[in-house]
Amino acid sequence: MRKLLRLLLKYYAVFLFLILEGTAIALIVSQNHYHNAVFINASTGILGYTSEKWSNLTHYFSLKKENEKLIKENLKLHRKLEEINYKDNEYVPEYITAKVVNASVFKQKNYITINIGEKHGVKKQMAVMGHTGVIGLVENTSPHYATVIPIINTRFHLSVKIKRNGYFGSLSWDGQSYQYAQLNDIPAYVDVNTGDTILTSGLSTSFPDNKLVGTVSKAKKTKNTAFWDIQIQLGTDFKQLTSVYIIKLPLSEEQKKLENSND
Amino acid sequence: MIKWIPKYSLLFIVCILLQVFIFNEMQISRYFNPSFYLLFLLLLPFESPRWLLLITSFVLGLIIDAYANTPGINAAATVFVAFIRPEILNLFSPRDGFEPGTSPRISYYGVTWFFKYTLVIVVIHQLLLFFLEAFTFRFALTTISVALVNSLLTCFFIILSQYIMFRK
Repeated sequence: MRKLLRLLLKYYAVFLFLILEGTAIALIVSQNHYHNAVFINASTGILGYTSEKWSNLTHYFSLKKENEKLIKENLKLHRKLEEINYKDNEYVPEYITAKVVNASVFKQKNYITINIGEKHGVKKQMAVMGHTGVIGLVENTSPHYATVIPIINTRFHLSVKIKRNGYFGSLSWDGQSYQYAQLNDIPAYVDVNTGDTILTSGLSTSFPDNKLVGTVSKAKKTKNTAFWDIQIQLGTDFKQLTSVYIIKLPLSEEQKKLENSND
Repeated sequence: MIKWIPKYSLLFIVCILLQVFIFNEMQISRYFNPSFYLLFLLLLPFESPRWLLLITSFVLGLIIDAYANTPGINAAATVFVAFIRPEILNLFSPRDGFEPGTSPRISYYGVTWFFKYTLVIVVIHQLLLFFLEAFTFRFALTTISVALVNSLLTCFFIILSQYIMFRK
């Protein structure tokens, strides 16, 4: 026992190092599970607060540009509203606006923090849209803030379709550039051109269908597989994000419940 | 020992503030992401016990991680360089050892010595940091070049800071 103690004392730095390094690595690994970002969840509240104070300051610099964008967006919404009115559908998706208080674009696993949370009705897995395209999904929420996992996070996947012919594929990101994402699982016999518009497929409980994701910027057939290798220019400029919309689908809870009862 | 506490606590806070609100906010490119906060670890006195090095750098890394939404990555890389800092200092020690009462600073050992010492620690830290972040050896060349460019930038800002604000 005494020997063991002496050994521990002599090499305490090594043990301490192993413990701390182990904790850090455990943190890194645990974030690979989709619903397990406890770390981010716990810190969202406090950090959101300080980040918001800081970004309140920096928001002033982009106000003019932001206004122009909002005017355009309002116009589009008015048109949409009329479309919806004519269709007389009772389950209309609900939009909530939010301000971005923190965002990264140059990491492999980028995140966005927004200034609304549970108190405003934000729940995990809700869709997040920008003015010019899809942004991502709500990952974690605290009473006043929420973190969003954007397209430009290597863990993000989304079902999308080509507007022209309706073929479905899966969107993912390779971690290289915040302007481009990759579209997989489009069979080689499908006709794909550069410039084709990519929309959300609606095959998800979070996203409404036919929301703009981006356009095809490069498409080539891979040699050994029967699939296209497609690069998508994203509609959203993640570097310029200042405000976003959260979309509440009124029937998504019901759909999820029904689908879960199938297992 | 005790008289160092306020000075180094201040340094700790200043490093975090500068890193979080200046260097993390300047999102210019993947190649511009210096880890300025390493300055704190670099400047700790020679006599600092190892547990102090390890624990302060762990906490420092965690705080930086929390703001950058990268759980554990900065903490892991920083704890590792804190662990090997005594060995690296041994490597660069003058023939008759470091004089008691001095700390690893330009004013005591000159800019060449400080640059060499900073460079070794920063390069190891950055390589670890960016490989942990990518968590894959795909695009290894990009990861290495990002790490090296950022190492140079980090060294540049750290040495610059020595001439501007943390002189004594």
